[in-house]
Amino acid sequence: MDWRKDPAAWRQNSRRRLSATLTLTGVLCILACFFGLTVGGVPLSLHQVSGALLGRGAPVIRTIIWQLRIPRILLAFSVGGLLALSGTLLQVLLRNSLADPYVLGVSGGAAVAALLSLIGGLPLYWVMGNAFLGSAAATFLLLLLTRLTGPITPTRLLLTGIVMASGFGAIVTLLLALSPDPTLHTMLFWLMGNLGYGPGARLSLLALVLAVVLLWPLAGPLHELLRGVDAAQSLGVHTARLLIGLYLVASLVTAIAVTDAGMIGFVGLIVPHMVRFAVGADHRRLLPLAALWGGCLLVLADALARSLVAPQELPVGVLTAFLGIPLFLVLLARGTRS
Amino acid sequence: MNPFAPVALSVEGLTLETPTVQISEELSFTVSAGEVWGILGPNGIGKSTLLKTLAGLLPMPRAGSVRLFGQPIDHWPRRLRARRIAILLQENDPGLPISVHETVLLGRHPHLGLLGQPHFEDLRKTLGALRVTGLGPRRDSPAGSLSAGEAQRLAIALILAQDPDIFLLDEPTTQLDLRYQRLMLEHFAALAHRKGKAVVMALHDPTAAFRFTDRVLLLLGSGRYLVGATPEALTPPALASLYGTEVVSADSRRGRVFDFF
Repeated sequence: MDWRKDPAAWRQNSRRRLSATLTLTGVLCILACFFGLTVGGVPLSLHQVSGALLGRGAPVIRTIIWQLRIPRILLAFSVGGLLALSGTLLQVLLRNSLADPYVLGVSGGAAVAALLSLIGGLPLYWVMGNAFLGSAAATFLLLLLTRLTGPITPTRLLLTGIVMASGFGAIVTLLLALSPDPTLHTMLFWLMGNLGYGPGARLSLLALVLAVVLLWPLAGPLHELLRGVDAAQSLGVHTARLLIGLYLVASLVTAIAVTDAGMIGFVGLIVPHMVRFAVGADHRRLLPLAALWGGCLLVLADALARSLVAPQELPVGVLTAFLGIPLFLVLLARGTRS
Repeated sequence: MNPFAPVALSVEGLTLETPTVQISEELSFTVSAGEVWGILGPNGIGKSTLLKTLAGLLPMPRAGSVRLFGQPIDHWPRRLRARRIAILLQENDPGLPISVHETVLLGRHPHLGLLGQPHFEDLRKTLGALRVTGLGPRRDSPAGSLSAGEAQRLAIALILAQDPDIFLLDEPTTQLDLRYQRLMLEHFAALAHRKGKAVVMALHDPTAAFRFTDRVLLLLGSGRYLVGATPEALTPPALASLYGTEVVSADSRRGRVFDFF
């Protein structure tokens, strides 16, 4: 039956597509995790990995798997998921398909605040709290500056964001130049996007799960925002509340990702587009799938970062930038054409 | 028209102004179910602001009230209100990648349950709206790839899928070719006259207004207005003073045709 004309067939088709995507997501997650477990400073075989997972094999390998690689993979997964969520939310909030916390300087704001706290020697929860203030302030400043200089259009918003991102970059360089030497290398590596210095995956994993669960009931109203604030309001959405909530959650999620792993760019840009391409723009599907795919993407990117020039490690932010920049340009070209 | 038809929308003593324009002073009129209303007036006179106020999208002005089925428009729970009244806005930019079909499905959102799962009925109405607007073949295209006229039809399809009791239309024929101007206006007129919907539309074309509306509201500027049955109110002298340019008309079997002179 032609699903273009018949509602029942349409729904069946949509469900088939969803279940195919879910299966693919599951397979992707498992593959990404195994890949992440095998590669690194000490390459392990699949046999060794599965042995260690089941509690067999040499103690050294078990230690590597359980103490080093699993926490690292969990951290990569949660940070990737948080970044993808943040990108999804920012794209709705700013109604701009090129929005990404890194490109718009939201991560930059968080990084500056976190860096200041680190230099000041504040404890971890302060670093995180300040990072949240930093990213919230950056988003607010972005909207304010765009509005003050003219009407809020997608292009102007993007330009303002990019200028702000480079401004935060300059502040970071300044702070690094002024900060005492011994910690410099660590901070630099953290800023470039690196999963080796984080405080552990527990908080970010919890944040990711909470964010998805709490946001999911808002998926419908989020979806309605796609045609603008007035249109959403006429469909029955309390837009002011929703936009403020969205703004706070996006800032918070970005801040947690940045304190965990520094500035990792373009995950928030790539992932929502991939998911939309696969299952469409429905946010009830988009939100959880973006979190999962973002996680997988960063686990894979981190595994590559650890293995490409092993035993040295690349900052994972470099890899995501190599993936993200071409896509950004493609989207930009497509956007200006239409 | 029908004196027993329920009052859908009633405006009482509405005084509406923006920093630059006095749109209406003590404006009162009632729209009954089954009626088509036209709002006419020169550019920038405040037709869109008035429509948005009627839809409850703007804060209520201090003076006057807008009632939707007897209840003040700003007292309605948002979702319930969206089932009763829909507005076709002038600006409709998709912003993010979303397909034509998904866009029309948005119109069903006020009717969906807690989980937001579209039911058979929602999909049927979505498909119906796509068919009426002639967008069936484009249903899988990204909304951003449509031409201006198709985008306008998409916006119309969305509110058709929303299936409210009252349609507020801000220049529904913008960008449409001659055939779709006629089809869309005929469709809305039929919704009013056959299905008992109420339609209030801002129009620029007096010929179309004469043919498709039952009553008109003329916004004359500095708060003055005129309400009346279309055949009596839409005359060349009235239009000439409304737009500040000479207007001629010719009556034919199917209505009155206007042109500037």
